[in-house]
Amino acid sequence: MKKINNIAKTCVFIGATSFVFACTDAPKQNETTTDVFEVEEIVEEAPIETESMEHDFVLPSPIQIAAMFNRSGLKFEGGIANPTSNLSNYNTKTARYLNFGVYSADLAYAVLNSERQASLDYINVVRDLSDKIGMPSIFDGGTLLTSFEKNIDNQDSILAILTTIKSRTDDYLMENNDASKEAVFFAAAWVEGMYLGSISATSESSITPRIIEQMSILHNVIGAVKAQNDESLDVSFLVKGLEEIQDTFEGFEEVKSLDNPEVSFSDINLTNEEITLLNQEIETLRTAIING
Amino acid sequence: MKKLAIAFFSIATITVLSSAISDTNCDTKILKKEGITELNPFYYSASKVNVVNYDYRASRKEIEVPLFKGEKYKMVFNKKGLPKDVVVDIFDKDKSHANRKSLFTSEGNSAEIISYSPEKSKKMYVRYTIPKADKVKESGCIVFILGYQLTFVTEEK
Repeated sequence: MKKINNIAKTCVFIGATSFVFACTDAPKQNETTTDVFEVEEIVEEAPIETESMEHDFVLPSPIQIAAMFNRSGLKFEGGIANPTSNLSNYNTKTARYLNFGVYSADLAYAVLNSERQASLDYINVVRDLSDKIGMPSIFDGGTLLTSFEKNIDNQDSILAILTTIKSRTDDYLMENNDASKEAVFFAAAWVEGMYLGSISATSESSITPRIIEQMSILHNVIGAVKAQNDESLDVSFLVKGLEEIQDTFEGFEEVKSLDNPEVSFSDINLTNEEITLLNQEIETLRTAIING
Repeated sequence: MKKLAIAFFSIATITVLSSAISDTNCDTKILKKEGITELNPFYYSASKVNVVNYDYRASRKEIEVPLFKGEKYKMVFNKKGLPKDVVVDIFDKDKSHANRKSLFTSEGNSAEIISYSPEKSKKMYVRYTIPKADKVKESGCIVFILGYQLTFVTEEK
């Protein structure tokens, strides 16, 4: 008993000491800290500069991609987006994370095409999955959903709400030191968006250059998914599927000309056969994702 | 006594952990919110928070920003979380290209929130130049927010 008391006293001391140190404010501007390094070794004459080797990038908004496809003529077709009835199949963490991304893309697709009922259906499944993932804060306890329903006929307000959801998701991940998971949401949303776009893609259609342009970010998307560090998420099939799409695309003759710095993605013209091949790869991965 | 010790220890652990997270003197949520306000009328697309460590030598960090052809964008940088200024440069190509063109620089601009709207949209590279520390190691953060102009076509239902 005496031993336990001694341990307890030690704990109190460590706890109290840590508490006092922890309560000290972080250094403010112009304040000094005790973390002083040796400066004697610095050779002022020499241009000392280090360049970070880490490749850093931002991922675009899936809502913007949906809007670009919309302006290129992508019309709403009932039954091609992931049915909301599939929600009950998503019982694993991986399936929930990925289909949160998929349904977010479907939601943007419905909203941009003024599909009232589909928009309401998709916002509800997105909310359901956000709760199951553990991100209820992004809907502000239901306030945002109520606002969405109230403004359903005001497209500008609805799109502002979707943007708020995106921003809050980013906030949530950042606050929980989970920013790498953004890549998982984004990759799934990207695949769904590409699938929806590919339905009407031919070598003549105006959406095709937009789809090809999206391939310019695929390398970063793959890198970001690979970098996510939650071992409980099984995203190996996602990485494999994305790499297959990239390999297929990079195998096309016109794409090989991208080695020339003067050629950009928007200059690429694919044949109908190549577009079909690319679409098949996208559809295969999309099916694997929505099957949970 | 044992319960008291456990309670104290738990509080201390939680506090130490949370103070470590906010060690860089940054409330990134507020900094981001301020940056988003500057986007108007552009819509929020993405954000990037970079922790900046001032060391005994200057350093650089680069971020690739995908901008799609024909789209309109605005980039906002909130530097309020920095104890010492960081120069923001934007280039048309990555650092492997010696002849890359500078599109924007914050050098000489003392504003804490700066923005840049590219005339032409293509992939761009944001570079932060972090000066060396003045004898004392310091850290802070810079928040980058990307906004886009949202335009779309709808059919009357």
